Amino acid sequence: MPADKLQPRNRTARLAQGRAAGNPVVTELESGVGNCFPGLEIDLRNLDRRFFPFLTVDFVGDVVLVVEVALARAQQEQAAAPLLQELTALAADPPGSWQVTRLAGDLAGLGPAALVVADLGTDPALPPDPWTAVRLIRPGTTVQLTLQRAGAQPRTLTGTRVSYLSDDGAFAEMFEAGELTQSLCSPWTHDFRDCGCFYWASNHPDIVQPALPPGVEADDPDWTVRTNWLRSDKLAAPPPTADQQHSGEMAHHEINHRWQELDVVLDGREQREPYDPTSVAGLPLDPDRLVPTLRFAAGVELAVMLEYLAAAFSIDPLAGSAQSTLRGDARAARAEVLRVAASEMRHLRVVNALLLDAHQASGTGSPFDPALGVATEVPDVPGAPGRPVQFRPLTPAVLDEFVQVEAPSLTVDALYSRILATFQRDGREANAATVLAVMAEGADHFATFTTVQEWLGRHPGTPYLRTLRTPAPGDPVLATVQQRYERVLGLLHSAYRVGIPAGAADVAAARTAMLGPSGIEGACEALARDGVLPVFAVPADPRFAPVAPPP
Amino acid sequence: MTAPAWHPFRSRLGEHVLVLQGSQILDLPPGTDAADLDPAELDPYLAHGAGLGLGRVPEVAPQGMSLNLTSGCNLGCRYCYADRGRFGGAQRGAMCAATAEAAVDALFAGCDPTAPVTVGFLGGEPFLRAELLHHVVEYAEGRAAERHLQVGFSVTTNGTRLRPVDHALVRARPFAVTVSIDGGRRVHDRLRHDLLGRGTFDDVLAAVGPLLADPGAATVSARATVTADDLDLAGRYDDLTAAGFRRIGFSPVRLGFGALGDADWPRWTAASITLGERALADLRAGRETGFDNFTTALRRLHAGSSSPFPCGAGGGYASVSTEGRWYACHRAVGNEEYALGDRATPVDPRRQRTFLTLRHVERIEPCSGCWARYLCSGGCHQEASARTDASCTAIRSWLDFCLDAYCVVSAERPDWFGGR
Repeated sequence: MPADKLQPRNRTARLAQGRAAGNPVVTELESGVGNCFPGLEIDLRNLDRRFFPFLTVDFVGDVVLVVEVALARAQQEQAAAPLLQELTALAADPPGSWQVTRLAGDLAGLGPAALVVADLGTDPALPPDPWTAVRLIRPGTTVQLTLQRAGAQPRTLTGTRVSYLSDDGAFAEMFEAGELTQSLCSPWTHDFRDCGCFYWASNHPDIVQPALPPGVEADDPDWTVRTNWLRSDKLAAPPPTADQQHSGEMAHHEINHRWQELDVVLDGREQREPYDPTSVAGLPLDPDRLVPTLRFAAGVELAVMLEYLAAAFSIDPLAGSAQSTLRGDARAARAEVLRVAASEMRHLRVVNALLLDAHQASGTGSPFDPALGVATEVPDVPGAPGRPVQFRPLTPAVLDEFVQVEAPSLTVDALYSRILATFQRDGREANAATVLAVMAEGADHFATFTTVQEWLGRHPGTPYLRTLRTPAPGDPVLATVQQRYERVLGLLHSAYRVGIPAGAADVAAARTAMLGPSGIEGACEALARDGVLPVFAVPADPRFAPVAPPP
Repeated sequence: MTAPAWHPFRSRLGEHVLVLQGSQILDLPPGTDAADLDPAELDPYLAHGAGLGLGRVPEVAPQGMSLNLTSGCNLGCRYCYADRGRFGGAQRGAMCAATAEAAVDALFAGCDPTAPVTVGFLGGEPFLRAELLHHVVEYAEGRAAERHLQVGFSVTTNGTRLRPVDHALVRARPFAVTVSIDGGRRVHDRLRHDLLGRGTFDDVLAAVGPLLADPGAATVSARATVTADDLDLAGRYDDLTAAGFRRIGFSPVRLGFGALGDADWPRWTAASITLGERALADLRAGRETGFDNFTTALRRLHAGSSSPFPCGAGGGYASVSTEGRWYACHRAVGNEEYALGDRATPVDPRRQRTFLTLRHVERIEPCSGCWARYLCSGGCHQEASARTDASCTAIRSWLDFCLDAYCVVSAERPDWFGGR
């Protein structure tokens, strides 16, 4: 720690530094490995039990049973009359009476499709089971279910595929505590021993650095070995390096008997002594710098979102042959970069919500002016000049820059760490928590981009890239994408001005205007297919004027 | 004058700041002092302190209580605040088992079940009612087990009446035994007489000695009452250590017979710091120290203890008289101002709130403007009338010494704080 600052000495002063030390963001749910059958952090199947509004289903082998009807909630949330009528009828029967036999909707990879549940698993062109089919239904699209019960007329329900996340990015309130983990094995039981090749959930240690004995320096080569956390001989000094054969690992029952000897791991090392924390919060900002910094942060979110968008569409989803690693990697990379771009849009909304809050607290009475200008530059590490916003194909060099942008403690994260410290200083706990969530997602983006590097790095010569020309801003070929982009900004402006919930309808409209063939997504894909890189110009509308970093 | 929010101080390590709320201790960068400090750098700590809610009057039920088992005592010490247990006639007779049981029931019914709860015994001399004391311990443990409460006990005794059966009782469970003993034989026997006027030092050692040799689960400490005529704390400490005590605390008399006057307080400070320096040297050398005032101060500073109240009186603590009346403090039995309730309503919330509101340190002058206000918290409510500039200076000087010593010990012996 730098010596030019105040240093806390006793316990309360250390607590004042904000976040207590402990689990890093990689232990948070969103950073999990997401193994989905069953998941090790959550069982993703439990999300899909609620894919249809006001219904809960169980996937029992090849059968989909309706096990709960949330009729009261449907009435409270004013479900459409026909749906409400069907739900009322279903609710009259005991749970498990009704079975989903047909499912129609817009499925990722298949497009609009009507599937007979009994056919799934018989035709290789179709999803292999009902759960996979449900997983593929795109959120926000219309789904039609046909339900049957012995001795009754079939019923047809139409609704919108539920989004599992709330507008704040949290799991929606319909999920009950424990619901997402209810089908998992328990931690600290010996099941984990059977995960092959150290494929464990990220919040359970596998390969670690051993606890340091008293007097041994952290860089002692004997004690920087990567050892098996489950090693049976906990006294070996120095401990052996882990091998693929899991040599010397505790046996199943041994884990049950000796779990208390398994060490807590922090910073990648087993810890047996009191842990000395290092702070993550930056320096708080002067009060008059908070709003300009937030406005700039919004601009940076928008800037990198546009950069990611251009880069994502530079990847050819048809690269390589049908079953090749190249095509799989290219598609996965494209999907992940698009996911990160979408996540930046959520950050944009979050930052605007924080700005609206600050505006209302200032009590000026003037209308709130949302922050929707693109940043004039993407920040570099603190102290270094930023770089201009650029639209480029996802070459290895560009991907390196994206990794840098999302890296913890650097660039964007450094910006938020100061905003976080400011809210903590001012006792704005809810706002601080919101910023922490954004920072945690930044850490997830960083991990995602490093994974994308791994995938694409397997293919020298960038065969996954389309050959695209970069048009000059104002090129007529860009007219459609630019017009859709400005429409989205206009909708977001209306929404952010009033915040959530009043602006929810406009946020939903903006989302629709971004996604699908008629949205920005479609326009970008059409451009890229025609050999043109999507490029976004600065709108003429003064509401969307570029925003410079605060002095 | 605006009340200070922080206090600069110097230790053997360098320059520091104490942020008052939360007693947060900070090191200034080497080579700088408080004059170089940009106050904005303290903002996160001030905000953290402000979030601790020290300005509020807490609404808590008693978590600990003392039972005044009797108004009688076999000693006649001239400085006794309790008038040997009679409180000037306000307390009479002895507590009966039904009253004690009702008090235990009331305490257990209202307390926070997730935290340990304490039943204490006072008097008069509580071991004059040893049978009742044994009965209440057994009763409280039975009731606590039913309610899944963790119960501990404490007793303050003159130490002359403990029998082997009493030793067995306190050894078998967490029992804080505070023995009133003032120093060596000469010092002790000067003021702590039995009713025939004889010194009681030998009686105490005979009755408490076996417990000092084998305390079991009990914690035995000496509490020496210090009168103005003999402020040789180190001498008293050495004699008590030789007598076998491992924890020794000192309380100066502030009111009545033997009370320290303004001229005495600087001598008290010097004597405290002399003994404190010895204790500090012991810790630095890897040894232990039994100087209770010092170790308690260091542990409280390490934890960042800070409170607008000097003790639990009227909040987490109450004292029940022989007749079953509930008072905020064992020193105020019979004082209506301190009455909280009776057997039917042990703690009247309105009375409790009034009591605490009036005694919140922010409401007390000159305490509300003092940097030590969340550490000293105004001192004992009963002794408030004895507060003078000189006595307050003594407290601040002692705290400055303890802050210095804390910085040294936390740097050199972090293990001494038990990793917490």
